[in-house]
Amino acid sequence: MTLLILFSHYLLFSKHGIRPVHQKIIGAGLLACAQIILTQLVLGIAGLLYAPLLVFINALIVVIICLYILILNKNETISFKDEGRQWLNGIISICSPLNALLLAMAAFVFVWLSAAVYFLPPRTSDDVVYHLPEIYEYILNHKIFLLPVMMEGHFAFPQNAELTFMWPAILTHSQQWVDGVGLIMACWGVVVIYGLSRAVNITPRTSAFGALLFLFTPVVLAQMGSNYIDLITAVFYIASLYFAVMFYKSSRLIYFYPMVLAGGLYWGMRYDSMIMLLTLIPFVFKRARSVTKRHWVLGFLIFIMAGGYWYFRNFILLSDPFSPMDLTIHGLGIFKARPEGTGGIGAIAMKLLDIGKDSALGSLHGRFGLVFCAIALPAWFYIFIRSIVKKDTLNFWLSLCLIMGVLKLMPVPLNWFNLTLRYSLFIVALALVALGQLLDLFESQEFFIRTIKFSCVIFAVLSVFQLSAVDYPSYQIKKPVNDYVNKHYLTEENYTTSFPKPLVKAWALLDYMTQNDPRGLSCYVAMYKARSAFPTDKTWIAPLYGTYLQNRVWNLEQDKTLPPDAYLYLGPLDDLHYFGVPIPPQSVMADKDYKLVMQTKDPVVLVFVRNEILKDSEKQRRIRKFLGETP
Amino acid sequence: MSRRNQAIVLSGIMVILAILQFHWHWHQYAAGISQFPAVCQGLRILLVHFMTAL
Repeated sequence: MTLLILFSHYLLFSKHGIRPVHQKIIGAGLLACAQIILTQLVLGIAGLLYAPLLVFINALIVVIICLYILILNKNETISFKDEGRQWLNGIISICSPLNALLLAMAAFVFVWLSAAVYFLPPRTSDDVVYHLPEIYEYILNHKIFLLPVMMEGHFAFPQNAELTFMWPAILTHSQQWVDGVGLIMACWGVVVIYGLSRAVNITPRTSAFGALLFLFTPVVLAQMGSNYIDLITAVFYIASLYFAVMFYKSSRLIYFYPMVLAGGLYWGMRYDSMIMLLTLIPFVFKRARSVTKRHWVLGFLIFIMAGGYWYFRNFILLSDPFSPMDLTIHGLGIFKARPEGTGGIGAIAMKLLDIGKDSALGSLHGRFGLVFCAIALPAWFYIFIRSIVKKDTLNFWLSLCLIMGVLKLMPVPLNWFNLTLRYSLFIVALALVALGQLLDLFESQEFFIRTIKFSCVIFAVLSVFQLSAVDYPSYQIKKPVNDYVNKHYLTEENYTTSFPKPLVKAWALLDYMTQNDPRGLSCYVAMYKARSAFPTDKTWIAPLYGTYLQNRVWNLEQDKTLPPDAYLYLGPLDDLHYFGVPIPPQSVMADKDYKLVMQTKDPVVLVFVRNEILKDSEKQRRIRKFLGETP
Repeated sequence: MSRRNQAIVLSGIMVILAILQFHWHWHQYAAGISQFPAVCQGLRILLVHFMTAL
């Protein structure tokens, strides 16, 4: 289905006379994402979020697009021979030994991360606290609604990016491929960066070299198999910037509308996008007169429709379109009313140094890598100064986008700064575009260029090696693959390393015992956050839904008349954070309807299951098998 | 300043920054290099499994 959607939009751009293959891929990717996000959003708001209906509506749109292509301008036909030639020419134009090496490495990473996506579950804090539970609730309830923000404030965040995760989850009704979206987005991002490089007249070979290096940024590698949204938002920002630059250069409406659409979708992904959208204004402003009032109005409507729903919903339901953000000067950012504040002016130098020092290595929180810190950043600085000296408006505004991306981070408290560098991940892409320009400018200095290119490839190889040591999330696949081959692979939940081991075992038990039961269990959860840098009032909930989304989280159920089928507690029991309704473990222990099926001491984990459910012999067999095989 | 001299200055800056990066983070890269063979083993097992199944 996804390929059909992509293909129809690709043909649409072809029919409109767009020749370069990369432009068609960027445009098709954008329209496909828009179609996926908006059809889910509309069906979700209408309470009709059913997979068959979603597939039907999308198939219908594909058919309409194909009919439109057939009817529109019959004189200009799409020749597949021509398309093939364009692809071949495109590939030949980017061919070079170093690009081939980077492409081969990218293919290796793609296979590795695809295996990780399949064999490992979503396993990082934000994913299991709010990015995923909300879309699972939408799928199970067949509607998009605001989950209780009293239980988790992050539920009120804009969710266009999460709706891209929802697509594989709703089509397969499972968690299996939900963390693979980042992988696809990163590949599309490479084409978008290639497009931006070509838009500033970098040669195809150098553009491809810079764009491929983006894939080997440590934080990009670490986020590709997760459900963090920084990578997706970065790609959408670069896409909107790309179309803005193309519009600036050509004044064509075919770039104006995608720019508005990409900007709107980006706006609906995170609150701080509004700061970065300001950077598009100079490009648009210069060509404002080339667009008639009618198109401006239509563009504005598209922008609002693409991203405005979340703000409108929050305004109506919470009287605050930016909930839970605090827009006062001391708490600006997502860290509402944090006592440490922003650190003031004195902290700015420390923060700038941290960007260079790149201290959040080994996790998906940060680390822009050797290529960015040692090579692309000086290249960007050179291009920035050169744009001022040469009065090169286009490069000057592009360089300012990077400065804006850094400025955006300044209000973040100093002690959180190294965890939040990822919010401005797009600055890596902008620096790589500058690196491409530098490489072309110094073409005559062969030794210099060769040394830079060779160093970049070495650094990219090191980043791939370094991914094996990343522990948040881990991409080590040997154990699950071994278990899979030896038929000991019971559930993907068994292979999470980011949380306390007994808790992971409890998640895996609840998943495994219900994997063949579509009715699943309604599970109550209460936990003390055992070890994390985050505040203690977070509850890791996504793994409770099970691999095939067969279970429910009782705490989030709208109808609580029926009691939970199972209880999961992570202690210490005298210091529990209750997620919604407080049901102390003591009362479950005293209830004869429930049986304790799993108990650990350090940390304390208790799993109770209703006796009635345990009467099922298959469930008993699965519990015995799981507890017998899992240490 | 000529292109050649600009290239020399830029190279100097890049080398210093690269050395600093290695100084701060080499242990992470070393850990990655030591754990990378396990990933390759996992992929090899998977590949052999699928080839056998085919």
